[in-house]
Amino acid sequence: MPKLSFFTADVFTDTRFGGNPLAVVMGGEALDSATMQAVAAEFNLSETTFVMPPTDPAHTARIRIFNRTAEMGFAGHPMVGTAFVLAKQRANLTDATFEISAGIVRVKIERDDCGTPIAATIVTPQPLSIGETVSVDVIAKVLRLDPNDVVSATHPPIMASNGNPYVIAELTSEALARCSPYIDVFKALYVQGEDILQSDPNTKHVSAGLVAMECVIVHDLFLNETANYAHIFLPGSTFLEKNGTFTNAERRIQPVRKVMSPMNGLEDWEVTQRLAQAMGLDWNYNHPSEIMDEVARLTPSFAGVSFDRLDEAGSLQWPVNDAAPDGSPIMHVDGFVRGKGKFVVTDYVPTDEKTGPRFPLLLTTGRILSHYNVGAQTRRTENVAWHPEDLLEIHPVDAEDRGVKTGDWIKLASRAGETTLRATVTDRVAPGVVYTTFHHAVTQANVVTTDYSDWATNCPEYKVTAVQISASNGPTDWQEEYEALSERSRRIETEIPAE
Amino acid sequence: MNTTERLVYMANQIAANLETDPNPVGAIAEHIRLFWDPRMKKLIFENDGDGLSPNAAAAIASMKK
Repeated sequence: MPKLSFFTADVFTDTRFGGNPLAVVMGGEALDSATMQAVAAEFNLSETTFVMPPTDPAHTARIRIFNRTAEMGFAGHPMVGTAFVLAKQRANLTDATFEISAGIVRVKIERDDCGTPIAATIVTPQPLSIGETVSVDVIAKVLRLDPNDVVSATHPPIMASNGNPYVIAELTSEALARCSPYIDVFKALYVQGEDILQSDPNTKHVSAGLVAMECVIVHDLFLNETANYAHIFLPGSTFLEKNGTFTNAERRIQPVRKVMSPMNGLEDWEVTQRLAQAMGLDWNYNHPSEIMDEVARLTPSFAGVSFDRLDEAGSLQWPVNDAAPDGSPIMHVDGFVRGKGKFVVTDYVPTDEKTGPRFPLLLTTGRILSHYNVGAQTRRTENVAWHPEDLLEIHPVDAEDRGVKTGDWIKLASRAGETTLRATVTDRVAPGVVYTTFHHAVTQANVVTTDYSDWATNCPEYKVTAVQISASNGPTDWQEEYEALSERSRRIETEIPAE
Repeated sequence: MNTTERLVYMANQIAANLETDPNPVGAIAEHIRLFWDPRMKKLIFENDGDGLSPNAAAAIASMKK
């Protein structure tokens, strides 16, 4: 371990041991991220900074900020304190520029007549952005208060950020003294058989939510992308290893029978049942047929469904009940519930995602035959030979305007985020439209897609995102960070002793 | 967009889509009644009609009664 010098400072005070404490470690470039985190935990101060040489020589330093448990994008008092420590060492430093993960922070240092630094003023790396409001009930619950203690006359409780997101809520002064934080809202997530990180729109929003969880359990056949954020991974069982039914879009309930014992020892429903039991629920099913019997008791259109009936018939299409004991291959034969039907005129409601000078092209995303959705299953097969990477399809006219040739690396940017991938010039797409698939985790097309959704179903607007493309010489910061996270989360840190 | 703004936005989209219905206000109210969950309804009722189109505002006012 290298020997590095460090300073401790008290910020926002003129009294020793007052204010906000900070440790400043010089020569941070000698440490890796894990060691920085360990050092910050050892200091046990609200924050610790690590000073490194700047990547741009015009700047003063590159700085990473850690609290006791995590790295921070930006925080005020570490910037002021670090500037003060550096100003003490460098007599001519009056305007410092720090590179931090949230951007660039400029610091103005004030000195007294003897040149001793006495104060510092900072400009935040990002302008103030206002996010979602939070309901008064949630704030009250989290602070163990009554909803009446939360004041929303000036503004409702709201998310705000200039590099580091906070929820800002106003309380009565009396309640401020009485409140005691109790974080019991959305602590955990159990994700079974779905790769939300790669499939949901606006990936950065999804990852921020996953990072905020105290416990993420991923139960899947594969270590998918969401598993990078999992605290616990539970292996799933394939269709050959479990009993149950699949119901398709034709309303057809099809039995699936186990041909071998699950390699992990438990069928999926048993894993879920064990989790429920561990949380105190009295679930004691002995077989999936008992679960189907309960579904039949509770659901009128499934009333006649049982594993015995399914075995007999091979498959059944719901509704299966007294009126249709063998199921209903065709519904609404002589009319609908309301009669022959209802014809309505509806106006077309266009999306609000609009192209403009900054984002003049429309991105539409889709699938190709050789991969299934986000590719969690198909990317692990030889199907990758047909589709080894996501490519951006662009019309020759748009490509020529931008000097793009087939095979070039390009940056694809929208209002939500950016990614890099290779271009293929083709007249399969119309001028003004670009197209890509979302099968590969290294591309992450959904970093670019936005939160807009369809009014009736809330389906994400995967087909319309305003984008711009430009030449690129490497992956985006997000892609690099994500790759590092992905590698870290798949590493086995402790050697397992041989038996 | 925060949660309330998102709901106002959705209510306005529903109103735009049902503009040509013979009874647009009733149709909007019916859609919200059938398809919005209780938390969504609660939030849109708490909002004082800010940002809602006339038909959407009338539909929500009619549901509050």
